[in-house]
Amino acid sequence: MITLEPGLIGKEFSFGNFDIRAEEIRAFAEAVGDLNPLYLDPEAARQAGYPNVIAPPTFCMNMRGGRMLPEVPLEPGFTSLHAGQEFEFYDEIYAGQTYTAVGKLVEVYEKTGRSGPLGVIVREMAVKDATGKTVLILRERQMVRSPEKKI
Amino acid sequence: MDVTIPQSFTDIEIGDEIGPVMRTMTPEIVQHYANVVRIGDRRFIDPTVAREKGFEQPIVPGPLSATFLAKLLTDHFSGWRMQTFQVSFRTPVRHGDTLNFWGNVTEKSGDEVEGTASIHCDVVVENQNGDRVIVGTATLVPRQQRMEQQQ
Repeated sequence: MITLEPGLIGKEFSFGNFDIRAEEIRAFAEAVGDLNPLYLDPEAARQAGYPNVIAPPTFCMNMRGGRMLPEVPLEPGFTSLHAGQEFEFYDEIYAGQTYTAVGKLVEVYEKTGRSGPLGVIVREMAVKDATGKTVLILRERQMVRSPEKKI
Repeated sequence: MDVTIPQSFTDIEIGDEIGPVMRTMTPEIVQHYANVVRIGDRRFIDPTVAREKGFEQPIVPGPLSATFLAKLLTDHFSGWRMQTFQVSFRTPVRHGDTLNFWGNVTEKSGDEVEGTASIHCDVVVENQNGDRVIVGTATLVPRQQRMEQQQ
């Protein structure tokens, strides 16, 4: 059900560079109703010891967007579901700073579940600051299955 | 919300309840989130596309529900930040589902004075039928502790 190009495991793919603006953080925070002053008010952020507003923990989804890199083609007729996420946080994401995000394929395997055969694709995205220090790692599992059974 | 005063480590006890917080996942919330994080996959929005991809109706992106779960934790533990956050999406969430977000403190480790304090939590999201749609774990540390360690 998963067609894997040789050499794809571990190969890095860039999501791009991101100049994070306070307005982007505000837009994300407002979209999810998280009005913590640390995300919205520079003065509140400074009182907490930060140089500027910080981003909510899952803001990195704004960098990933709808993309899961690298793309892994599925055989016709198969569909996929997001199975899970694991975040490791090493620092905050600050407004006014530049970050890079890189994705790679960690593991691909197939197994038989209760509802039949399943494929699992594991990817990792690392976000680094301008000094090259890792700010966070996001690991995601995508589950592939036949769409015969309606979900 | 006073984000500058951390909740005391000594006041946090194993077994403490987090939440519950109820939230109905309306199509408007999904659309707003999809716009902000640039999700182009129409199965999250469009009933026709959702059916073509094997779903009875549009589903809520797992990362959106996970974001609300992260908010539950950062709202509850004022002055603390996430160190790790892991979630498994067990059952798709449909537009209009009312979700119950809650958790428990399962472990405390380290020492506040020595700057090694951390708390560990189990987190759960249930739908209106009592199905567990997300289960996960999180580790949090005091924001100030992290900043002092960095200096």
